Amino acid sequence: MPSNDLRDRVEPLEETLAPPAPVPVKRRASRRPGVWLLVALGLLLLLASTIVLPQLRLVGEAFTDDGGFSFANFIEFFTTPRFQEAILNSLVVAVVAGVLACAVAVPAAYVLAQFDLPGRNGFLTLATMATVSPPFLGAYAWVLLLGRGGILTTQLRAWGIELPFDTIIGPGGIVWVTVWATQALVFLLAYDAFRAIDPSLDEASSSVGAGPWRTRLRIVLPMAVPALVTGFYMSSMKIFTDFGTPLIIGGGTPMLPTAVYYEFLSEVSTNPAIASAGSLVMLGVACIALALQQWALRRRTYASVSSRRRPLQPVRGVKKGLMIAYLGVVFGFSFVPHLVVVGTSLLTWKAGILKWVPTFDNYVRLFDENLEVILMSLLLAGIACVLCVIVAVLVAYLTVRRRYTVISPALNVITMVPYIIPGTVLAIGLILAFGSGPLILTGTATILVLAYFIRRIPYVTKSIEAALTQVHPALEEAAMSVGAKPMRAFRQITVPLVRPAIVSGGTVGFLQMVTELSATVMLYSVPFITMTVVIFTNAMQPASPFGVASAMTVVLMLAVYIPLYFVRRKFASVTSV
Amino acid sequence: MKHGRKFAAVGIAAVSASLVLSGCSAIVGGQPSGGDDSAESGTVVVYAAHGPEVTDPIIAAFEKAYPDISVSLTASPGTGELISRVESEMKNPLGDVAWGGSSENYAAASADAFAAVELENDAATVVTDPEHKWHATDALFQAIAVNTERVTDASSYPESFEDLADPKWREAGQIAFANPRSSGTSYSLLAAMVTAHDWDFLDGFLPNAKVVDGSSQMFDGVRTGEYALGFINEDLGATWVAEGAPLELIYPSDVVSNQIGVAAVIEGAKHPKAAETFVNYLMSKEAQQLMVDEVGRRSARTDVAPPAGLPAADELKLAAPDPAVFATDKDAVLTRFDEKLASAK
Repeated sequence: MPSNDLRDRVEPLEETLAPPAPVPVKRRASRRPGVWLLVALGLLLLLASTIVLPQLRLVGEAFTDDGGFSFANFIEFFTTPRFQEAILNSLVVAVVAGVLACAVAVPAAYVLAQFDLPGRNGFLTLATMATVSPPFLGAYAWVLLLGRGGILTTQLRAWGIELPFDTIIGPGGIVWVTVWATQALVFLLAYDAFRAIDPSLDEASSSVGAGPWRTRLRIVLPMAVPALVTGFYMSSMKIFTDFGTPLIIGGGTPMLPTAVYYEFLSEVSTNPAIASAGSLVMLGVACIALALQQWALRRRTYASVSSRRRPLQPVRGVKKGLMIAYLGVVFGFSFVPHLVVVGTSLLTWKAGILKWVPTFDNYVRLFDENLEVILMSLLLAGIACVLCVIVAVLVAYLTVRRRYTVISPALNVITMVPYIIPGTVLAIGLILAFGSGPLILTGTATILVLAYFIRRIPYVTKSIEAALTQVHPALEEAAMSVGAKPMRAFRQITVPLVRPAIVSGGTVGFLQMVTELSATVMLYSVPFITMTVVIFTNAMQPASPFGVASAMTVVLMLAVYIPLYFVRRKFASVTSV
Repeated sequence: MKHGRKFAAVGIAAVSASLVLSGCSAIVGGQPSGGDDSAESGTVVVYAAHGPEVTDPIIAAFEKAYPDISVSLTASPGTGELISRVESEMKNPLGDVAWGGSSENYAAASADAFAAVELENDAATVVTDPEHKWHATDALFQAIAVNTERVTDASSYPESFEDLADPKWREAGQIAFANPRSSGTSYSLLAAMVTAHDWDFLDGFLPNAKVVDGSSQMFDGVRTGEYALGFINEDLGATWVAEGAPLELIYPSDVVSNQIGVAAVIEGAKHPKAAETFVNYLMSKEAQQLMVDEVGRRSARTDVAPPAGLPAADELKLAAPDPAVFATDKDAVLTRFDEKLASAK
């Protein structure tokens, strides 16, 4: 296992300052507000004007009927059968997918954290890579393989093998795609948690006579609960807000994001008031889920201050083989969309139909016209990512450490708002807010940077917040007690301590920005064309040249994985989100 | 101290980079704005709801015919998104031309979204907008598509909408039907079938149907055999048949749904003259012949023959749903559809 130089540097310091046993995190407000209060107010102003203001129309529409304030839209939303069905389906799918993602990922994370298995770093790299899947082609890839007329389905049928289902299309398909697309997030969170458990705890457990399974269930698993809660929350929320996956693989299953999307943007008939009410209902559900997650964490969070690295247990023979096989299967499934995309980028497509004729034409066509879009994507996402990390660190610090009464909760909620607003709707809000008036941003690159910043601020903030709760406040207080000003204590003590989370949160944020599609297609204008726009325009109609879209996706994957590899090498623990 | 400085430095770099980008965008992205009112030069910003298979050949021919006008193409996911983008930019329009979607979509858009202009080639098209906002660029008919691997007995193929209400399709595989809430194509199909028959026709049809989201899922679903039958735009269906897809296209004998594909000049366009030139070109005989030859889609002009293999329009019983019912009160139509769908389950 390569040395994790950051932790080596950080842990001795922690050891000297913190109490020796895991301690529940206590959060207290500093008695010296000053600079931080100004920072908080500044952030509030910034986020209110970029996130809340553009979306105010949404709130206004939701509560307006016949020109006056009314709950009529909400009543209609909750009493219309197709929305009732959509709410129910979305909740069930979210919970089932979240549970299954945990069920798949946690054993994998445990064996890799506990046992000395070959290729550990490879699996960790794969997991980080798997957190980025090809934009919207993921569900498409599974349909291509396992739809009723899919490549695998047809082949297996020809060999006389009957699958237990006719087609992957349907609610089961939504769950299936989501599980494999999100398990890596849970895996990374759980892996970090398992690695952080103080080895003296299981030693103590076995010294009083507990068997290995009892120790796992009573000691190890409970310690990983915060990671599980967060992982479950993230994967279930991902499908709860995802529009593309249900559209492609749902086979018409009514789901909340698709229903709301069409109320906003259908070509036939739209009802923005109902759509706004629906968005607010989704926001409400997300807030409740967030509150539950935080409540579960509050009761369970421990800031571990152990200086001992958890030893890896040796394992041999069949057991070792089974463990590696399990990891292989889990990550194999997660990479099916990637492999399908690579495969289809090397095959001929005619009018949207796949032909089994190998070709490089897709790449030739791609590089003929679309090379500069790679740089454009990386540049836009890079700028947005740096801004995002800076704001996220400040917001996380203010919500975890400086719990100002109204301001901190307000910041916390505002940063979560973009989580739930469909990208397209967010984009329309931005066009209305910045398309006229004092500050015109439409048609510039800035509006794309702003959209990326807004869309990913929830993720990055959450990841840094999680890391911050694990750092004992005593460290910073000690610095201040010897005379450091609050800002200096923050810069020199707190920021370096959460630097792994900054790097990993920032990396994943960056990857998600590069792959952002739904807001981009509403906001982009020539020449600010991104890779996702090229993918999308070559896959938007049933007769489109999908091969070019696949080739661009492969290039996009390379463009994000290569930097990811170097970041991982520099900061060995680019893991949890 | 080191970390703090680095942190601040990166922040400043990022902020200034984004300021530079936004500043530059006026130079890089703004293109020759203003002073571009002559018809034959400058840029035209085209928002399209068509894929490259439609836009590429026609734009290439346009740029050849008008070498001084360059086309800046921005693709939208669909007609709904395209019109939403135009509407939300109304205070400061960035696009010049909207291209793609049906005349119904454009007629239902906000009154100030599109400019009323009379163009020379309007007169040559099969239908013109009395308000001169949309301009016909193509005609789309829908056929019943049968997946011949799912339905092997050719004598059992449906010949009309009426045949699709036959209970035998409930077992033989479902009929893909996009939700008319999300698909304009399906809305036309719905209007055609309840006009040719009546609303009670749905009591027989919907139990056989599998309602999916979006036209693409309907087209793809029947091609891949996910569903045994469905409906398809004739140009796409014919292209797929030519590529060897196991499909049989049947024009229903009772009624054939159809739309007029259109383009429009955006109200307040920065390059209005170039926009008019472009839209007028889309209706020209040259562009319409490309639409027929390269895309395989029917021309909107009276003097351009349909693509080889597609029947002449006068051989078909074209639907003409009452606009007073189907254009003005779509909500009522869709609510009625929802009720029929709920009772069919």
